[in-house]
Amino acid sequence: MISKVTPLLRVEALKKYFPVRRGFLQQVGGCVRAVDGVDLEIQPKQTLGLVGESGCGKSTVARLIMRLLTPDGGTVRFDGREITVLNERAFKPLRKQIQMIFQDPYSSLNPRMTVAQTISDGVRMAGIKGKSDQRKRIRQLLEMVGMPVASAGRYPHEFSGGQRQRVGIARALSVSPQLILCDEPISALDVSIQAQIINLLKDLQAELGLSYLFISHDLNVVSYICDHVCVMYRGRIVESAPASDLFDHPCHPYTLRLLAAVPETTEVGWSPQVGAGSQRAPLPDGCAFGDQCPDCHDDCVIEPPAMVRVGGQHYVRCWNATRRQCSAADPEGRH
Amino acid sequence: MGRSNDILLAVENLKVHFTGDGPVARAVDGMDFQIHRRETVCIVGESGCGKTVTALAILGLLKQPPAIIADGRITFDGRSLLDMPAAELRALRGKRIAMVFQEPMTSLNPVFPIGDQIGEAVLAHERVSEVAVRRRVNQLLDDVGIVDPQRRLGDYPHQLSGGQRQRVMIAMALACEPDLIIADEPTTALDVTVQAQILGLLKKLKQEKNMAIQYITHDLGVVAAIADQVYVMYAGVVVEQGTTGIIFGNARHPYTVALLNALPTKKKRGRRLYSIPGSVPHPAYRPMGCPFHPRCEYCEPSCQNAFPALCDYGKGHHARCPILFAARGRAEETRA
Amino acid sequence: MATTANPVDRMGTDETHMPPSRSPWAETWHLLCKNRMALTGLVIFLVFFGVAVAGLTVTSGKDPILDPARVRLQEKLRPPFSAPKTDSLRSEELPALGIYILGTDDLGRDVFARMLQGAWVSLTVGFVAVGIAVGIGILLGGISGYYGRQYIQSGHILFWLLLVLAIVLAFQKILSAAAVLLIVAIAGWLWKKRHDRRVSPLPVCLKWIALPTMQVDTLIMRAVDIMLCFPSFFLILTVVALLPPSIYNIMVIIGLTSWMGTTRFVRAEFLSLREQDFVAAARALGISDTRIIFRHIMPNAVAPVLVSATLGIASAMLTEAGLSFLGFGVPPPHATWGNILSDGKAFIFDAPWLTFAPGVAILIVVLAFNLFGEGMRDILNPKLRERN
Repeated sequence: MISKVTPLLRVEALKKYFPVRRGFLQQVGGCVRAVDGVDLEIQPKQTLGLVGESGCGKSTVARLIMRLLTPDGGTVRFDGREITVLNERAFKPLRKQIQMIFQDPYSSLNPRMTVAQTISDGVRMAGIKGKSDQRKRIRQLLEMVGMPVASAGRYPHEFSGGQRQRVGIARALSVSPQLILCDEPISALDVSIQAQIINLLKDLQAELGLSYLFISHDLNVVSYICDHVCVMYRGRIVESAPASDLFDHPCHPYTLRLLAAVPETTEVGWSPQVGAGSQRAPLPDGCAFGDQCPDCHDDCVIEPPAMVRVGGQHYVRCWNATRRQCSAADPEGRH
Repeated sequence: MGRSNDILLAVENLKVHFTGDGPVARAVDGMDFQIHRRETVCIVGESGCGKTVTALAILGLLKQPPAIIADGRITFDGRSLLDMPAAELRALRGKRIAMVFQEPMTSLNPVFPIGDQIGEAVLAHERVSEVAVRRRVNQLLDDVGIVDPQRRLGDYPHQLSGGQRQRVMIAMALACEPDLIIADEPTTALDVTVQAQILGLLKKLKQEKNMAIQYITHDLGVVAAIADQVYVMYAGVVVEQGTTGIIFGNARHPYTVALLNALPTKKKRGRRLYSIPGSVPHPAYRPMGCPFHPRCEYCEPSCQNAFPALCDYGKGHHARCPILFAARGRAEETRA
Repeated sequence: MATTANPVDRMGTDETHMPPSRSPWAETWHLLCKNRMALTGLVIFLVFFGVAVAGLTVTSGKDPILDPARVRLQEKLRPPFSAPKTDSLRSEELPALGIYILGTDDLGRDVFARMLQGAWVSLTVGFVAVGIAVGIGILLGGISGYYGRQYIQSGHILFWLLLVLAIVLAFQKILSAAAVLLIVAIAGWLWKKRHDRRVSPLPVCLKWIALPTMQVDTLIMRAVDIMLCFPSFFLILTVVALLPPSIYNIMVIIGLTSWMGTTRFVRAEFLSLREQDFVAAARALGISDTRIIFRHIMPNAVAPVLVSATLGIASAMLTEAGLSFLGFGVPPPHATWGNILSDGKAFIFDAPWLTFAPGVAILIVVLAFNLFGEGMRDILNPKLRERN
């Protein structure tokens, strides 16, 4: 995954294992490999989609980048500078560059703080001193996210989910970041509100030159908003490709299954494939998807597959990828 | 659709209000719909539009107060549910109408094995022997696609995945072979692949068991996949109804059209998404006239005062927007 | 940078379609006004507070208006509302109100005056004891909840050992040795801190300093468990027997033996709140731990703590009354409701008002606090708040 432009964010072999404690004395017995060697690249002013089912570790990736969790391995480079080795004090200035939007608009705002107070935390961190300057900046931020200025003195419980999400976006913007990690920002919102927030994110990207890591389980949204998409399964990236490639020529069997499961509004009476889920045991050494895969063979059981380039910037973690001839339409690559 | 003798459930002009401190919240404000036998009806709408409250009203599970059924009739198989004595309604619930809830985590009791819980659903309405119950539970788990049911009978809910829990919930609903299953967002908490499995399962079971399904959801994709008949709800009323093909191919109400346009898809890449301005009105502070008028792009002065009537587009397709109905009429006249 | 959202995406927050604005505290007050039990409790508490403060001013000082210590042996065991025999009393011995509202006791002291004096004792005991308990509870619970996952290293233990040793030596008047130990401890601490900042590995011979011993949470919660093992009333009795009798000792001891509940409570609140996204957002912004704890978490955790504190005041008052009744409490002649009750028990058939007055007062005040506390618990319950 080498490209000419320096990526804004480059994540390599990121790992996070959560210890599982069990028994009377709470001794550590094994661990959950929440993130198990994830590689990502976010180009400036682009949106990278991270797709996967619940529990595949996609939120953990965002929290690792944001340093809300400490990684157990791997490196994160922001603007070419490695940030995993920095301690909290040295990392603090970088927090102004990277910000986060959360899924649940209800728990992501402090119920005992007004909108203005919530945003002012970030305004103060951005180094704006003086009450009137702060107020001005808060008003400007509220206008940017399309909230009435009069809402500044109100408390979160008085707003709907979409409005709260706007406040969350204003808080993230308050330090003028370059990269925003969006952790399922619209999945808790009403259908008619989702489009508003998507448009807002796109507008802000165009006007402020933001980059996004867009985490979602909704493939329709990802296909609309993202430039490049990574599909995650059990802590690993199994497929990574430009959005058009991924949705037109999906290659990994897991991606295929995900896409087949998305109900389409254009297709009335669509009949979902009812695979009741395979009951094979997970392969301890082999491919993580091996137990679910329809064409799992001997290689897959022995060794986990490596990332294979199947054309352009399309990479797949599957032993069968080359045989399946995925991006057949585009063998040379576009870039 | 004129099979009036075939109607299983009819809801007419249902009004459910919530009283508390402050103004009265009109959660459901004149709801009409019908479910025929062996039909899947989708009630689609956003949060707070009254779709769950309607379902609870049908089952008599609303807590009164604060809820009040202010008006309307609910008829199930020719009998009025609202006038029915509590004991009779209880007997009906589970036996002839069953419900599947959104959260499979919280709707199963964590301290009992799933086999016992399904067995209890059977025993609540039928007097059968212990052995028969076992056999029945086994069969039900097999029906809902749980592999090796014999072994899973003793499992506790926390040992199952979200999808399996939802399958168990469906097995419980099926326990007495009901005529109608009310499914309230049963796949919202699940992953897409599991959602596809559950939807497929519901479709298959509907065929096998001759049931009707009232499916409540906010997800238009799911509606397209499963529904025969669709009712689009907004602010406590049905704004558009019709067969699935009509709703997705030829929607007439501005809200339905806007919802469909606002869905992000691959094909709309690069174009700006259509978005509905504003937000869903609070049930206690709904606007006068057409509830959708503050967000509607076709809004005319008359919309602010007069509550719109359902306009008949033929073939069972109705939309609550006289403005567009009149415009279409004029267009057809000029064409003629 | 001044950009504005596209007009189509504007929220159009129509003020008329929104419920009126209300802060969370205003909302609480509104709900409180609707909960009649809690409101009754609050009113009784406010009346009690007023009486106690008034009582303090009229019964204390050099020449109090109502003297609770004035002995009139010829007027003993007079029933309530009886007028004093003016012929046998000197003018300064007459009760200020002209009658004995609650009668007199076996020494002819005015029970009303003594009740007023006791009210202040009850109030201060309740508040100071609970203040101490809540203070310790919030501190330990907060540390346990927020920093609980961190390990105490051997170095920390060494530092505290040196510090304690230094203090002990200082008390033994071996000041030079104490100063040396103190300097060694602080120097070591500062060296370790500088070292941590540079992220370089420790020299091999000093590796053991960073050896993790136990989690902060384990330490604090096991301390709570140990404290809970003692039957606290008897612990108090023992300690009171060893210490000189004084009202302040009582307050401190009750406080020091009742912080465990609050600690557990605050810890639980912190544990759940620190996982909330708004705390993650604050950390993502790089806000300092102190600000997160005091500005973001504490205001959300404090409401349930106030509830348990209200209930705690009632139980502290009962404990004080119990101690005074047993004769271990506030030393005579200072009146408290407990020792009025205790003194009166010998005359329960001849002068029932002596037990009745303090008994009913304790009952009403404790009941009021409990009602108020229970009411607040209902009001602050988020499930109830979601209702509207």
